[in-house]
Amino acid sequence: MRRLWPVLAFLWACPGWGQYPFTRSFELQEGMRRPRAEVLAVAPDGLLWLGGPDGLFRTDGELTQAALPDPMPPVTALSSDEHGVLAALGNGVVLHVHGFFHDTVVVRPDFLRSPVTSLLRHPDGTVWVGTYGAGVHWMRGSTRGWSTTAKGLSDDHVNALGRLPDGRVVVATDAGVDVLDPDGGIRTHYSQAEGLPDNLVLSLHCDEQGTIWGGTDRGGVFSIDAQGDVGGPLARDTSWAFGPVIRLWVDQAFAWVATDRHGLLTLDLKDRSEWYRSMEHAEGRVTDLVRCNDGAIWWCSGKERLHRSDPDVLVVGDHEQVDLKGISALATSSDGRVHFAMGDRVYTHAIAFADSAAFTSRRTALKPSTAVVTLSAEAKGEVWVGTMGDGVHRLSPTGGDFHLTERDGLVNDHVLRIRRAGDALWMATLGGAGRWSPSEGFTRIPVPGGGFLYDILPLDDGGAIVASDGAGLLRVRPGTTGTPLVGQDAGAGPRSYYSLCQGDDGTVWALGPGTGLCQVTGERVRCVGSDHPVLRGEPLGVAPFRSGVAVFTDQGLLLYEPASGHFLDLGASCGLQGVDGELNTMARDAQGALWLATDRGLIRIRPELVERSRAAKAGILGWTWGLEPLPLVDGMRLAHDQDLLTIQFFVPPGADPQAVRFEHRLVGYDNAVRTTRERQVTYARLIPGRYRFEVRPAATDGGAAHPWTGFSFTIQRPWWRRPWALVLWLAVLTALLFAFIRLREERIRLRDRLEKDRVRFQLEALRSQVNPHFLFNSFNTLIELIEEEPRKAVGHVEQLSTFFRNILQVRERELIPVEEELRLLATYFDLEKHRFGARIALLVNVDEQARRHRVVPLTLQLLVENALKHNVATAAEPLTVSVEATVRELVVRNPLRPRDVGHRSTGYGLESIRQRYTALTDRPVQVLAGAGVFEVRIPLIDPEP
Amino acid sequence: MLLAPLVLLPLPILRAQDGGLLQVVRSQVSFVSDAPLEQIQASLRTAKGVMDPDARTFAIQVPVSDFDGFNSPLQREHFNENYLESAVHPKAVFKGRVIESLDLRSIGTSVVRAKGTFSLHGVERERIIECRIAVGPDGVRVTSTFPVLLEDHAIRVPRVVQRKVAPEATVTVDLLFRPKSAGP
Repeated sequence: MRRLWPVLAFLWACPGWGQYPFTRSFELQEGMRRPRAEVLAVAPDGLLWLGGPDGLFRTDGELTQAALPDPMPPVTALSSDEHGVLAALGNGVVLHVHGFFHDTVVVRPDFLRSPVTSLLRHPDGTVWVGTYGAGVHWMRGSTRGWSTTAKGLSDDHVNALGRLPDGRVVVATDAGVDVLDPDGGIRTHYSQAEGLPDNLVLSLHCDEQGTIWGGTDRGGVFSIDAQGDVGGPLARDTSWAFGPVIRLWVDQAFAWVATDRHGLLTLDLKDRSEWYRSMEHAEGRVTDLVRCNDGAIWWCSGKERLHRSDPDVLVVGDHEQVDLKGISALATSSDGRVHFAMGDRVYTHAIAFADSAAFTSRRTALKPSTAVVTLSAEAKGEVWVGTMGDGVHRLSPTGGDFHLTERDGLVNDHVLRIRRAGDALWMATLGGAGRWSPSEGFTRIPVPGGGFLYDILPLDDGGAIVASDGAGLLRVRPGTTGTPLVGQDAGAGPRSYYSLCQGDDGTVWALGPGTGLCQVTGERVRCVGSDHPVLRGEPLGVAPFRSGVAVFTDQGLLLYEPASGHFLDLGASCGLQGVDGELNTMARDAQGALWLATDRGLIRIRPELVERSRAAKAGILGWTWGLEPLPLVDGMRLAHDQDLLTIQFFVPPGADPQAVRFEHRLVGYDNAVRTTRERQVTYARLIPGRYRFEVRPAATDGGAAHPWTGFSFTIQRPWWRRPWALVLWLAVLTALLFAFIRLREERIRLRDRLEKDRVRFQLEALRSQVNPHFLFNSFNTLIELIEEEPRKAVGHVEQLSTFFRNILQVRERELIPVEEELRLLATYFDLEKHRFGARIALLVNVDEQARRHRVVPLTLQLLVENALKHNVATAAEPLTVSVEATVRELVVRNPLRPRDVGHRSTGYGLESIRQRYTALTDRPVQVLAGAGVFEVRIPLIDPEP
Repeated sequence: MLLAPLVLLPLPILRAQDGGLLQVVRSQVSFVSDAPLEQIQASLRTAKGVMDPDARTFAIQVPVSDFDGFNSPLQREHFNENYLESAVHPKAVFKGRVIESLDLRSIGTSVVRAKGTFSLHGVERERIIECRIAVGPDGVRVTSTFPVLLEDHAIRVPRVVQRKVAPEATVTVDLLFRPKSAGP
C-alpha cells in the first residue's frame, strides 16, 4: 500500500489526464523480423527512418524495409539531412544513408567506448557527432575537429545536439548547455548558476526563432531565448513530476515530451495549463519522437511498434474519473463551450485543450426511464435539454431552471430535437413540431402527414424546415400548412430524414437513411453520394465544417465540399475508423472545430486536419536494375540492356497508411495510369527511349488529384544502333559495293584484254604461218621437188597440209601439252629443213616429266621461226636451235648471229608470247640476249590434273 | 521555527568550507547480494574520501579486502580471490563531480547526483549515482544506495553458483564528511 501512495498522489495531481491527442499504433514487421525502434528521424521527403538494436529501417507506416545489408549493427543515433539520414552505428561508424545507398562519414574506434548519442548535419556539410564520454566531434570534408573538457566543453558526456538558425551549435551535456560557434569555439555555457532547472540536460530542440528548448533529468523543460534569457517551466503547474525528459519537440502550438517513465506528454502552448499524458497507448518509456511534415508526432519506445499522435485530433476518454463513452447528446455554445449529456447529467466542457476548472456537471430532474436526447446551449451557460418522455428542461447557471411538458402545452413529451432561434425554442417531437417563446408561449406548427419528426431547423424568414419520418422534408411556418419539398427522390416515395444543419452560406443540408447528403435549394432537394459507403450507414448527424459539411454515420466521418463536389474520408484521414455514436452527437464549436461524442469518448477535430490530409505527395524511394540499385538522378542514362527496372515509392506516413493506393504511369511506355496498393512496380524489356516515371497517391472518394512526383530516364540504344554507328554502317556498305563493282569491272577488262591478246597471238601465229616468205619458200621448195623428186613432193605437200591442219586444231586451245607442241614444232621444222637443208638443226632435249607440262600452242614454233628469220645460217656454221627443259621452264636457245639485212623485227612475236603468259602465270617469260647466245625461257604450266 | 537556533550551531563547518576540503571521518559501506538460494551481506568501515564543495568534486576509495560479514570465512576468501581479485585490484574508487551546485552552508537535506568514474575490479564505468546529502551540526552526511551489475565490472560468476550469487549487488554507502583542518 505504501507503494501505491505516490501513484495516488499523482492521480490526484492530474485530474485532466484522460485527454490526449489521438494516437494510433503501428506494428513494425520486416519479413520475418520485428525490428525494435529506439531512435527516429524523418527525412525531408517524409519517409520515416528508425534505428535500434536490430539495425536501421525505413517505413512509410505500411511497408518497413531494412536500410542496410545484414548483419546490421545496432543504431545509437539518427539525424536527417537534406538527402537522407545520418546514422551512428554501434561499431563506431557514422553512415550517411540515402535511398538505396550509404557512404561512410567517419569511423572512430573511440566511439565504441563512448557511444554516439546525437548527430547533426549543418547545411554547410559539417557533420557533428555528440558522444557519451568523448565530447563533440565534427568533420567538414577532410578537416576534423573536436571539443572535450580539455578544450573547455562543460562535460565529455554529450546527450543531445541542436543547431540555431545563425549556425551556432548547441550541446547538451551532463553539466549544462554549451553553445558552440560553427568552428567549434565555445561561446556560452548555461548551467544551474544561469538558471537552468537542472545541470543534467538530456534533450534539446532549437526552433526557428533561435530559442533553445531543453529537457532535463529532474527539472523538466526549460527554454533559452535568442537573447540568452533562461525561461522557467512551460506549464503553469511549475512542479515537474515526470522524471527525465528523453526527447522533446516544441512547435507553435504544442510541446511534446518523451519521458522515461510517464510516456508521451503534451502541453498546449496556448493555455499551458498542464501536461497531458497519452494513456490509451501508454508505453512508460518513450525513447524518441519526431514531428512529421503533416504535423503529427511519431514516437517509439524501444519496442516493435511506432505510435502516431495527431495534435489536431483530441480525444477525451475520461474526465475527473467520469467515463465519457456514453454521451447521448452534444451541443456547442457561442462562448466556446461544449455541452453534453450522459444519463441524467449535463456536462459543460471548456473549449481549450483542457481546462478542468471549467468542467462542470448538473443533474437534471428527469423522470425515471427517460433520457436526454437533445441539447441546445447559449453563451451565458444556459442549456436547454430535450428528453424522451419528460419534455424540455432549461438549466440556468443563475438558477432560473424550469420545465415544459405536455401539461404546459408542449405538443409531445418525447422531444427529438430542440433548436434556439432568437428567444424562441423550436421543437421536433414524436407528435409534431412546436415553437415556444417567453412572450408568445406555445405555438403548434401544423405538419401535413407528419407525426414523427426527427429534426427542425429554424430559418431566418420565420419559418423552419422539418425532417420527418416517412414524409420527407417539409417547409413549415407557424399558423400555415407546411409544404413538402420535392426533389429527385420524389418518385421513389417519401423518405425519412434524421438530421438537418445550415451551412455558413445559408445552405440547408439534410441527411437520412439511404438518402445521401441532400441540399435544399428553394423548394427542391438535391442529393449526392447516396452510394458512398459512409453515407449508406445509419445517420448520426450533419454539421457545417470548414467550407463544406461533415457527415457522421455509424460507418464513419465524411466531409463533403460542395464547391468541388469532393468527398474526403475524415475518419480515415485522422485514423478514426469504426467510431460509433448516438443521434445528435456532432456539433461544430465557435473555433470551427468539430466535436463528436463517440463510443471512444469525446473527440475534437480541428479544421487544419483537412489541409494536412490533402497535402500528401508521393516520394520515390529508389530504383534497381535487377537487384542492383541505381542512383536516383533525374535524366539518368541507362545502357540498352538495363531494361529490367523496379521502382519503389512511398507516401509520407499518415494516419492510415494501409488505405493508401498509388497511381503511377510510365510516360513513353504506354502512358496508362495504373492503380496499386503495392509500393513498387517492375518494368521488364523496356525498349530504348526516353521515359518519365510518375507516381501519386490515388485520390480517395473522387477527391482532388494529388500532384505527380517523378523522374526521367533514358534507355540508350546499343552503340551499333546509334546515329554515328548507322552512318558508319552506311559508309562500310557503300565502300564494299564500290569495291565489288570495281573488282568486277577489273575482271571484265582483264578478260577483254586476254581475249584481245589471244586473238592477236593467233593472228600473229597465223600471220607468221601465212608469211609470204614462208609460203614463197615452201612453194619454191615444192617446185624443186616436183621436178626432181615427185614422190617427195607429195610428202612435202602432205607435211604442209598436216602443218596447217595442226595449226587450225590448236589455234582455239588455251594450252597444249609440251609433247604436242614439240610435234607441231617438228612438223614445222621439217618443212623448214626442206628449204635450209643442213644449214639448220634442231636439238630437242625434253624429258618425259616436262613433256606432260603445258605451254601456249605455237610458242616454240614462233620462237624457232624468229631464230631462223633473224640469224645467219650457213652450211659452214649451221644454225642449231636447241629446246631444253629445266624443272619449270622450257629453254629455247640459239646462237646469236644477227642478219644485217632483210627482215626487220616487228617485236610482235615475243611481245605477244609475253602477254599470253602474263595472263596464265605470274612467272615471267625471260629473254636473255648476250654472249653470242639468244635464249628465251618459257614457264611450264602444270599438267592438266 | 524550533530549528532556527540550530542553524547557528555548525560554525566549524561554515569556516571549514571557506578553507576548502572535506574528508571522510566515519564510514560504513555495505553490499547485499540477494540470490534465490542465498543472501550475502558484507560491510566495512575503512572507506576514505575527500570532497571539494567549491569545485563540487569528490573521490571515495574503498579497500575491497576489508569487507567482512560474509556467511562463512570461506565465502570471504572466494570473494577476495575469485571474484574481486583483491590482490590485483585492492581498491574500489568512485571519483567525479556533483551535477548540482552544492550548498553546504545551511542545515538541511538534499538529493544530488554524483557523476563520475566508478572503478571496481579494475573496470571503470561512468555512473550517475543519486546521493542524499544531509548537512548537520556534526558534519556533512552522504548516504546512497545503488546497484552494481557484476557483469559491468567483468566479475564472472561460475554457473554452479549462479543461483547463490545475484548478478546485481546493492551497495549502501554512509559517509560522514568533516572539514579537513577541523579533524584531529
